[in-house]
Amino acid sequence: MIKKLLVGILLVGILAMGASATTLKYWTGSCVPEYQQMVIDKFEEAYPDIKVEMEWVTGGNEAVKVTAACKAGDPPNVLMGYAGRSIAYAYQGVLVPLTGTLSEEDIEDFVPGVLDLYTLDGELMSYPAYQSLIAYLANKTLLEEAGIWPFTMENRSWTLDEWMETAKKINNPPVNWAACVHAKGKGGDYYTAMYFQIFGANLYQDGDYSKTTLNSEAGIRALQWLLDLRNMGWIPPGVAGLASIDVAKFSASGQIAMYGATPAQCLSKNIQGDIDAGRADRYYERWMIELPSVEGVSSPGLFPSPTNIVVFKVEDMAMQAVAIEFAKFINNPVCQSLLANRASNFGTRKSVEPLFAEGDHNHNFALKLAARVGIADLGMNSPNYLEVRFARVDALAEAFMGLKTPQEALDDFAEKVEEAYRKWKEARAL
Amino acid sequence: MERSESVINKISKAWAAYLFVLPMLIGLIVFNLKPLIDAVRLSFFKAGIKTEIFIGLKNYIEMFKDPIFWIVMKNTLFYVFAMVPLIIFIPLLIALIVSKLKSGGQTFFRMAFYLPVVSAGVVMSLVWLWIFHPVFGLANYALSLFGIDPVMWLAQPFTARLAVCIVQIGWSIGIPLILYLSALAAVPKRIYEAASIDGANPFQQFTKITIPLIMPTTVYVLIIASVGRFQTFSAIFLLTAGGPANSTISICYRIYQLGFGFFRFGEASTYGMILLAICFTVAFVQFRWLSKKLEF
Repeated sequence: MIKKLLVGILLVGILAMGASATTLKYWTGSCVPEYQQMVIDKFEEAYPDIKVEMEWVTGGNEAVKVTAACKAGDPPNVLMGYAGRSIAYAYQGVLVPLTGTLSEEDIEDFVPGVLDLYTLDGELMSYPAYQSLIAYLANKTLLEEAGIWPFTMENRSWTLDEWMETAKKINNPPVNWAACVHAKGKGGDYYTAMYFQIFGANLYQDGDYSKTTLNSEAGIRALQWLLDLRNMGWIPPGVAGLASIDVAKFSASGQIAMYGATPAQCLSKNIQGDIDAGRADRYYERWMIELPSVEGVSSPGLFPSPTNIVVFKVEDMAMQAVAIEFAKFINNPVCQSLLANRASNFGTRKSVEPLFAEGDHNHNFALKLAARVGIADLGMNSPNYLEVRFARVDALAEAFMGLKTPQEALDDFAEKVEEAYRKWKEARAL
Repeated sequence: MERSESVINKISKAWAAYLFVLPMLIGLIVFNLKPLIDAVRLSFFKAGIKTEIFIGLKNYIEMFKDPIFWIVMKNTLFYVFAMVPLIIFIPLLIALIVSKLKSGGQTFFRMAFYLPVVSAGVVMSLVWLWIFHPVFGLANYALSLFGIDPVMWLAQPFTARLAVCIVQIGWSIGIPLILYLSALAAVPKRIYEAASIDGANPFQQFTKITIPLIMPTTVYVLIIASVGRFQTFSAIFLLTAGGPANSTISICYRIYQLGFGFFRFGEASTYGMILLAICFTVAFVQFRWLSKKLEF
C-alpha cells in the first residue's frame, strides 16, 4: 500500500512539474510493431507528459542489446518479451521487484496461478502479459482424405498404439510424413520435447531444478521411440538440422499429419494466411488433439510459451515509477486483449477476449485440457533455464546423429544440468 | 641555428601528424584498447551483469578442463585450415581470369563477388538455409540430378561444418579479389614481355614473376584471412547456432554464448584471451616469417 502511494506521489510529482516530456524507453519484439504502437498511443493519451520510445528487439538480438545496455548502465525502462529469457535478468539483479504494485482487482483478474510463475523467492519479478500453449495438432483434411480421422468434437484422446496405426497408414514420404521432430535451434524445441510426455518423462520433478529427470527410463524410452520413427521414415529427414520454422513450413504445406505447434495454427485466419502467403496450396483444417497416451502415464501438463513485462532498475527513481505505471498500463485488460489477439495468444487475465471465438471447438478443447492436466513445470523460473534448453537440444541432436545412444545422450544432458546449476550456486555463494 | 630550426620544424611536423591521427587514436583507445583491458581483467573474475568477484585463474583452469573448450578449438582449427587456403587461392584464380577481361567485364565480376561482402548477413543466411534444406533445398536438388542421395547438410557434424565454410568463403573472397586485381594490375607488363622474349612459358611467368610480385598482397590476405577465420561467427550464428550438438561451435560463438546467453562474462573473457593469444601469435609469426620473402 505504502509502495503504491509512493509510486503515485512520484508520478504526480513528475506530471505536476510541467517540465518537458519524460521519455521512457520501451523495448519489445512481441506481437507486431503497429499494435505495440497502438498501446503506446493509448498510454501517451492518458499521460501526455510522458513520451514512450519503442525499440524493436527480437530473439537473439534482444539478448545482446539488453545485456549490453545493462552492462553499460543504460538499460531500457520496460521490456516485453519471452518470459524464459527475461526471467534470467531477475537472477542478474537488474529488475525491479513488482510485489505490491498491483491492485487487488488486478490480482483477482489474473488467471489463477499465473502470477506464481513469475514470482521468485516471494517477489513478483514481472507481469504476465499473454501466453501461448504448445498444443498437439492434427491435419484433419489430410487424415480424413486418407479415411483415418478418428476424432470427434467430444473425444480427441487416443492411445499410443492407435497413434502408431494412424501414422503407419498416413505416412507417404516425400508427399507427407506422419509426424515431425526437430533438434536444431534453441527456440520451439518444445514441439519435440512434448513427445517425452507421452512416456511420462519430465524435465524436472517436484520443482527441484538442481537435477533433471529426463534421463529416467521413461525418457530413454521416449528418445528411442523418436529414433525409431526416424528409422521407419515416419518423420522428415535431417532432424538435427531442422528447426521449428521447418515444422511450420511442413505443416503449412500439408506435409506432416501430426505435430506440436501453437493452437493459433488452428485459426481459420492463420490457415488462410498460409494460402495467401503461398506457403500452402489449399485449406488444411487443423484440430487440437491430445498426445497419445500410454497406460499408467499421466500428463505433466501443457507447455506454456509466455510473454511477460519486466521493469529494469535505474538510478532515477521517478523514472522507475513511471516505468512501472507504463508496464501496468500496457497490460491492462484492453491493451492485453489487443496484443494477445493480434499475437494469436491467450491472455493471462480473465477479462481478456478469448483467442478463439466463443464456442469454437478448439477453444473449448484447449480450456478443458488445460483444466484437466494443468501447466507443465519447465523450470522457467530456474536460474539456468536457457542453458538447460540449449543442452537438451544438443542431447537430441547427438542421439539423432548417432553420436550417442539415447541413454548416453540423456545422461550427458543430466550432467550438464547439474553442472549449470552448480555454477550458478557457486556464483551466488561468492 | 640551422640545426635547431630543423628540430623545431621536425617537432611541429610531428605534432601536425599526431593531430591528424588523434581522432583515430582516441577511437582505438576507447573502442579497442579499453575493452581489451577490461576483457583481460574480467577473465580473472566471476562476472554477471552487475556482479564481479575475483577468482584468480579459476576461469582458465575450468576452461581447460571443460570438454566443450576442446571441441571449440578443434572446430576453429578446422575452419582455419579449411578456409584460409581457399580464401587465398580462389580469389587469386578469379583475379587471374578476370584481369584478362576488358574493364567492363572486370567491373561486373568485381561487383558480383563483392556483393556478398556488403549484403545483409541475415538475408544471405536465409537463402543459404533454403539451399541446404534437406527436403526443399537447391543443393540436394542439384545432387539429385547426378543421382546422388540427399545430404543432410546441417544435420551432420562434418557437412554442417562444410556448410559453414561454404557460406563463409562466399562472404570472404570479395575483398581479397579486389586486392589481387589491384596487385595484378600493378605488375609491370614489360617484365612479362621480357620473360616471353627469354622463352619463359606462362606457368614459369606465373611462378617466377606473378607470385613473387604479388606476395605482399598474398601475405596481407593470409594474415587477414587467418585472423578472420579464427573469428568465424556470423555463418555459425545464422546457420547452425553452434549445432548440431556443438559440432560447428567456434571460439567467437562460444564467447557470445557464454556472455549473452548465460551471462558468464568472466568465462567469455577467458575464451577471448585465448583468441587474442592465438590471433596475435599467428599474425606475428606469419608476418615475421613471410616478410623476409617479400619483394618490393
